[in-house]
Amino acid sequence: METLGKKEIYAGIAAHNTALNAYLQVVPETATQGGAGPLSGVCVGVKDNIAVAGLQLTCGSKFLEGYIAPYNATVIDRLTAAGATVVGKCNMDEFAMGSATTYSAYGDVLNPWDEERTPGGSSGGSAAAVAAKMCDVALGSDTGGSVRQPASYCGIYGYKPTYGTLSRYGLTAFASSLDQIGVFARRPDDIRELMQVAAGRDHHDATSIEAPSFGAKGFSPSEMRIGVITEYEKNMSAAVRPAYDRCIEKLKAAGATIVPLSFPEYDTVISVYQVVATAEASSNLSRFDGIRYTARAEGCGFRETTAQSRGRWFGPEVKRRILLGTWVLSRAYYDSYYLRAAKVRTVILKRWQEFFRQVELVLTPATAGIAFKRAEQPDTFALYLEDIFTIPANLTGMPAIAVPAGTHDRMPVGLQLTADLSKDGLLLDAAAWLEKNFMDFATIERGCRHDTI
Amino acid sequence: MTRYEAVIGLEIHIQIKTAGKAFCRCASDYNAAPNSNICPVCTGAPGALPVLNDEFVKRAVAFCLALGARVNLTSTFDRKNYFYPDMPKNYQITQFFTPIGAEGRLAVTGADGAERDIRIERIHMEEDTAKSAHMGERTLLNFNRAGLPLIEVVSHPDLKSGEEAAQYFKKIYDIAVKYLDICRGNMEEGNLRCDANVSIRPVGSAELFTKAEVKNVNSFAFIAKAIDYEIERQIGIVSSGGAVESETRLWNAKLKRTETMRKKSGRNDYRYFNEPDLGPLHITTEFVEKIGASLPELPDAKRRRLKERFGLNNELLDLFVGYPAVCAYFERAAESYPAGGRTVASWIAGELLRVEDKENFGKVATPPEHIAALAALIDGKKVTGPQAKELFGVMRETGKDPGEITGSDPRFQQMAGGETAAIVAAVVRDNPDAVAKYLGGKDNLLGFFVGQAMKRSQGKADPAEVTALIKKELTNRQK
Repeated sequence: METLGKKEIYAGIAAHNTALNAYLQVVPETATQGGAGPLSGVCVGVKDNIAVAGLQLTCGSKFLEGYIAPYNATVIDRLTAAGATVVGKCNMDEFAMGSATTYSAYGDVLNPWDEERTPGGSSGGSAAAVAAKMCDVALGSDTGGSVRQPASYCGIYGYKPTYGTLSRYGLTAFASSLDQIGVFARRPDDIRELMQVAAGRDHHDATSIEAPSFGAKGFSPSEMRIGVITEYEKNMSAAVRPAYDRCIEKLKAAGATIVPLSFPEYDTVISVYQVVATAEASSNLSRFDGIRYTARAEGCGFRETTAQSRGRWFGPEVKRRILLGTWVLSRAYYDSYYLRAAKVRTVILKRWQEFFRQVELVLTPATAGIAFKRAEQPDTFALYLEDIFTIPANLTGMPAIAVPAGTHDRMPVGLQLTADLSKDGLLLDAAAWLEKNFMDFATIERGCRHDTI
Repeated sequence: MTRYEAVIGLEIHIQIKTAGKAFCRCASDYNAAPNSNICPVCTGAPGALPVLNDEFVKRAVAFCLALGARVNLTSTFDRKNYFYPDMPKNYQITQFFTPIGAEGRLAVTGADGAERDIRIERIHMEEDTAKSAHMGERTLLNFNRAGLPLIEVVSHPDLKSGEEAAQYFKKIYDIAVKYLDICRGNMEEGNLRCDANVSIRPVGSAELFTKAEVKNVNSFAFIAKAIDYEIERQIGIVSSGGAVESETRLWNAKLKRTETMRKKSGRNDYRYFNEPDLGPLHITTEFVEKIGASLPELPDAKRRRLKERFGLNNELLDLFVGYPAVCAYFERAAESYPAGGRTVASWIAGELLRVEDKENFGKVATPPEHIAALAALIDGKKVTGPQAKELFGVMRETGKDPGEITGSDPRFQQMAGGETAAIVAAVVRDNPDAVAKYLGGKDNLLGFFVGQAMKRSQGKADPAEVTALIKKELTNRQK
């Protein structure tokens, strides 16, 4: 992997982090240790919900302020064994719940392209750090689009692997059946090289799977059938439509077959996601009770201590989702919400499996529009709707990547490619082809004001 | 006056013996220094994930098969959500929707002496909690126990008395601890925990009435007492026009009564859902069959076989079924003396267990073949009862085969033909007064003559032969 070099990266951090607030903790340059290996010298930013032994693990929450991770996530073990260096912990929406990194307990992250705008979320810190060259690559987590959406808002690549390809051991769980660690990079090949060392089965994660091949096989569009989703095309914003159309033209010109697909369940994905994700979150976040680690609000007895601690240190969005999740799992509503959502999820999976009997890749926008201004953040429900293009890959477990596709209103626009389960190699090959043949990289680099080059 | 019958179901938790914990690789020694066998997984650190211990699955399947339960080839792990200080994640990983085993059965003998199957509803795998200790106002938590593998067996409410419940519990204990060796069986340390759901209803009714849960009746000493007390308490309440309250009760061993622990207000909502970190557990028919083939003979089958083969009485059957190690020893002995199974059995029960501990029946110095040889000597009247006991002592001291000992030790030589008759004749001749009294009607003097004769033979004479000869000799005199 081509690295900017530690010196330049620390210069970038010194120049931009105060303004962007991308890192919550920076490892002092003198304390970083790189080793030999395929990722020697590569500087990695790590979302602050992934455990790095000895570094903080706040998950963007006051609840975990001062908490130091007692062990390494499997991905961290694998990256450092390959010579990579962790340079810092990246800011994020509290417990990865949010789409703008405005729900961090440690302040907003600003978009390097335009500080008035959000970098997206929940992995906004990781996206901003990569876009502003404060690291070579960064890890995020993607439960409903938390890697692909900020990547798209920041003009970089954001990849969510097939569920299970990267071990979740050490990733603080939000919604276990949807969570997947993802990768931010400025080039698809950087992702490929990272995945070659980090992917694969882990005896600490029962849901982990064998790594597919990440070796570049080349990409010939003439052999490809690319699916486009009719329902999405009907409601596409003016911000993303031109880039989307140009991309299709480019692929067609190169010989690809464009196949229209119908996804009649597209308008259920938000509801299914909200039910499944909040249900799992309500259980996953139960462990934060102030008893074994982290802040404890002294109350009289266990019940009061727990209630006080959770009441005081969980932020409003986290509370909202815990309440919703508790509700949908309760005995009276389990059948009509959780069970029903689980069934619809199966229908959606079958639908996408059917797509991949007809096509090799599905092309969609990554987001509905460009990064919005933080002062103009949509209301809670409108914000949930932001994830409509990214959520299917989480519900189905399929790999997807957000690729930069030009700009609109001087802000980056992202498209998304989705592939069938474990066809991650093909996905990265396609992204690499688009990088070379479609995307105007120079335009994007000029647009990023915090670019140190 | 209405007569009532009891309806009892048991929920038994069995801590399973595996090297690691249920979902992590921490050592399972909960007696180690507090919080020394812990890791991110069993303390619920952020980011930690459970990974199922294969040994746990094997033992659970063996246990299901031992209880004649159906083994589900696909079972689910599910989360039971509730907040409790000894629950590191504030949810317990258990099997709620589809347990590993269902529809088992276990026989008990009812008050009428008839055997009856108690249906087992479900058998599932789950994880144990941490152990809390209260020190004044503080609560100390030891996570060594957190995440240890547990199996829970839930019976249908088919039991009718404390005695039946005790039998059922003992059988579960025997199977888990003595037959399958999947549980350490230390009740004081909570290796087996038993809760009883008790209710009563008018005899003949099929309805189920409000039940009380009696917690922690895991003691052979009081399980029957606690349940019977609870039955009587409920009958007392209902007979005097009251109603049984839904509550959790505890047995007070000092006052010999159950007492309210907490009232149950409404049902708890555990918000069960499939554990996404594990996914369903899939096992194959071959896996189950392989475990089935490795199972030892189980108590009911063993009892039937021993009874048919050796015609043992209930007391001996209870002994051998309850103590498989003793039984294995017996069977090895009986193998080398197949015709004398009953003698071998009673010799082991009566004499060997006087010197060996059946609870820790490990290495016994006397080989079972020697016990068989001794039994053969007894049956063949080659040694007398008193000689046999002495001979057994020598066997234990020397480790020698009884045949070898009797061949060389004069104490165990057989009386030569006519020798016994000569002794008897001498005893009758030397005791004219006693003879006169006996002939005068004092029949109880027979024992005196036998004793004298045995003494003179130095125990080598056969008491039965001596008795017969004396009777004959004295009768002759009468004529």
